[in-house]
Amino acid sequence: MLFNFANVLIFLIVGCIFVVLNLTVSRLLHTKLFSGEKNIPYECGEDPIGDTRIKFNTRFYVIALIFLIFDVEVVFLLPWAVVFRDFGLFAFLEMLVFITILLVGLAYVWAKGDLEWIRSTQLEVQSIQREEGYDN
Amino acid sequence: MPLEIPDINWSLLMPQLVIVSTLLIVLVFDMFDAISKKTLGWMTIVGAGIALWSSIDLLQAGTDQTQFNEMFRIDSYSLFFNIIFLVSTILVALVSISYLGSGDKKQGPYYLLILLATLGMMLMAAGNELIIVFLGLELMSLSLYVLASYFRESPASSEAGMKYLLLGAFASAFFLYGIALVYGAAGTTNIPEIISKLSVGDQLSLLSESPLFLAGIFLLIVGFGFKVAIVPFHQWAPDVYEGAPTTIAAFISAGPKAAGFAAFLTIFVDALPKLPTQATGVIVLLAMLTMTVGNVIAIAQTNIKRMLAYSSIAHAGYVMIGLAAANPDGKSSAMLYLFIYCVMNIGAFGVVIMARTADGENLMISDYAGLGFRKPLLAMFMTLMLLSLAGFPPTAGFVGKLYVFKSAVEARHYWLVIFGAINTAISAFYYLRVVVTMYMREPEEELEFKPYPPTLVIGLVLAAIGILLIGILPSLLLDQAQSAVQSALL
Repeated sequence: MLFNFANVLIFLIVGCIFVVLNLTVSRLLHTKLFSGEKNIPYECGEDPIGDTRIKFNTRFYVIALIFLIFDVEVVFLLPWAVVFRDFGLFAFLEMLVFITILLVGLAYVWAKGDLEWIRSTQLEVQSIQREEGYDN
Repeated sequence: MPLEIPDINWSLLMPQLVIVSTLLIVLVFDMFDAISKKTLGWMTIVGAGIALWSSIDLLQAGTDQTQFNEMFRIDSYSLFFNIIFLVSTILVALVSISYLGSGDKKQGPYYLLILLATLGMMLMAAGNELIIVFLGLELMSLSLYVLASYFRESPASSEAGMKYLLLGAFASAFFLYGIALVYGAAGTTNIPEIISKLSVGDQLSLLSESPLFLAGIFLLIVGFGFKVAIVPFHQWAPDVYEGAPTTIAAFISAGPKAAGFAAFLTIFVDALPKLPTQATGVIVLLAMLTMTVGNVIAIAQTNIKRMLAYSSIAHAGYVMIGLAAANPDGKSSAMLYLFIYCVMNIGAFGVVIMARTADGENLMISDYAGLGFRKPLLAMFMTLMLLSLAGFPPTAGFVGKLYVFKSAVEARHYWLVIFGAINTAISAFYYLRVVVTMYMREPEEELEFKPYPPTLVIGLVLAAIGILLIGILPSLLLDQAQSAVQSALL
């Protein structure tokens, strides 16, 4: 039991060294030019300091969702690749079905225009014209 | 290390596989704008129909097996619930085709989400493992959150979706925490194993009194309580039913409630006798509260969708009686009750859709004045559904209540039965009030009704035939439910 915790301790120490080492190396190597843009933690992202109630494009959600699906796909593919030899044809077909389903999903997202960053406003107007009554 | 592929018997998974395939086919066809969106509705119905047929086929073959390393149970219990879910899905899809019309180009996701929710429900009923139950619960709930806010330009619908999402996510967290605690105490998430660990021989084991385990069990009750809308976890239901599209209100009140109870019954009917008596006390108390609060508040409602929402809360209370009885009869009568309830409730919401006027939906009970003679077909359907909900013979509602009360008498829960009977009397008041309004009041203004869409009438006729058939020949279904419970015992 004690030995197991020794592992954790070593892991912790190595982790700390890793962080400190990286920070030191980058401090030694980086150029010493400081300007307004350079001082922002995320140069291309949202400003992390300030009011949280800022407006940002809701399209980020859609992109994040699509990203998430394919991210999970990769997570599944990795262990599959490791045991692929043992399973043979079965594993191949299984993964083929899985990826086909995802591809259908990707095609759907594409066909619906969700991959465009700027969507035509025409589509939105159509959807608002909701059926008010029956349609026989 | 060599890995073993578990043997998978695909033919046993037919109902689920058919639903997944239908889902993908609908997804592909939705990409083409040339195809009428109504076709997608019909595809949903055909897919659910095939799945229903294969479920009945498996049920008649007396299938009783587990799949995927005992995570997934295909026995008559889960197959019986499959039938409930698929019948609900077919009825809701039939009603939806005419409710949505064909003007909306973005209807595809509606049917996709209904199919996904159905798949989630089937997973919940077939789950032999708390993790699978949770997976099904989330699949179902996430689809329903989106469906509730389907009319996104309507503030009421968006509010319904938002409320449902926030409270539902909260409930899921309770449920998951409950699973974690139960796993921590019992060391497994396999439901039969947990239940068998509760007793050693005839004696109760230490586990049944461990505080960690009991805390987990009570969190599970809270989680299920939210999902099936039992008092005091019911507040979301009226707001969501009122704001959501009427078809979706019908769907949420039927299938998901049955799915919640499917998992609830799996865990608790066998576990309750092995838990401290207080646990049964809690279930009995919740059942009494649910019936009384649901029925009493329903009296005060003037909006018919809210009235039906409180009535559905009260009906969850009647099902809880079967659960509190915690004997095989209680389980089978609760299953029978859920089936009947789903059919009659979708029917009642269907009539609400039928009573739409040119200005939109007719939701005030006072608007139904004088419909008895002006719209005889509509009034007839409404009367039948409401009489069944109130539990009058010869409708199915009577049969359902009779068997639930009988099982509680056998389990010596006399007070519970007395409460149930009093509540039935209270409920008759507000159900019959609508009937009285329809036949005995004069309308204040002439309303212009839209013509009845054919698919809606087909759906309602099916529901009406079902209600009368089960009401007159209850053994058709009860035998199935009883044999389903028997097979689970062996």
